[in-house]
Amino acid sequence: MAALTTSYGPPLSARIVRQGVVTGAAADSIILNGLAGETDKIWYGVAYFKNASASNRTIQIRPNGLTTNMSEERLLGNSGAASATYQAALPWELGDMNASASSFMQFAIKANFTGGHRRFYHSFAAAHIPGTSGQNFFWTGVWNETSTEITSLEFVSTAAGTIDVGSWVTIWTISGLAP
Amino acid sequence: MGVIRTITAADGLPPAYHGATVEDMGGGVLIRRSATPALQAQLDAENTAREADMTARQQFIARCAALADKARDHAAAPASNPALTTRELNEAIAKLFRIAANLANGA
Repeated sequence: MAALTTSYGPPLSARIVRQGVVTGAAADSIILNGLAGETDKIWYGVAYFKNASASNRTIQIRPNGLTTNMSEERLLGNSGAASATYQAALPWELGDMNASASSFMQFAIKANFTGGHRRFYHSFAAAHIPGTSGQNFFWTGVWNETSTEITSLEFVSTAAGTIDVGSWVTIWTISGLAP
Repeated sequence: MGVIRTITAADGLPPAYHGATVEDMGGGVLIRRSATPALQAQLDAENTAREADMTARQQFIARCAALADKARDHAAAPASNPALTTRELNEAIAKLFRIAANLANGA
């Protein structure tokens, strides 16, 4: 574990919770499983997704495989033009993959629900193709589900078999960060 | 390479996921592929071919050893041990050339 120096209090310890890599053949999704015991945490993550298809695809985050009781706000930068969209009942989205291209994402998830507080997430995603038009995203979302522990996180593409070999996602947590 | 299995209720995922094929990479990581059965079939075919190749190699080695033992025993005691027949000699020569060819090919 890596210790971080702080100006007060004990050092913080960062720890990788799960790390999934697609090998062998393109996949539908990466599922980080068995997260019971980690559910009182705030998870940080980075991800690299490579699109195995010739169409634009979206990567969703599905806690416990679910897509219900979620809402999100998207801020999109598309070739210099900005737009915002509110989605009242859609799954959490991590980011997009342009056709036959790759994306890099950074995200955080408030997984704990102690006291009935809601779960949140936010994500940055760079999906543009260098030298051509492309898209970059900032998402924030809320999961209005406070009675179920998150025991798995699925990172799933909107089309089967489009998460190419070499794609990966890592989540980590820092002890003592959240009450 | 992970273990191909199906999702069960123990995985904590909704019933809609149960029965879906995943590659269990260990450490709490599952890779889901709708195309996994095809991948598994390919792996199974490769394993079958590999096992057949191993069987052929073992049979080849056993036959070479039997011919070598018969030639050795005849050389040591010709009166009590028969020599290789013409057919066996030809077979032994063919196997020697096959081994030489495989060695030359780096096999």
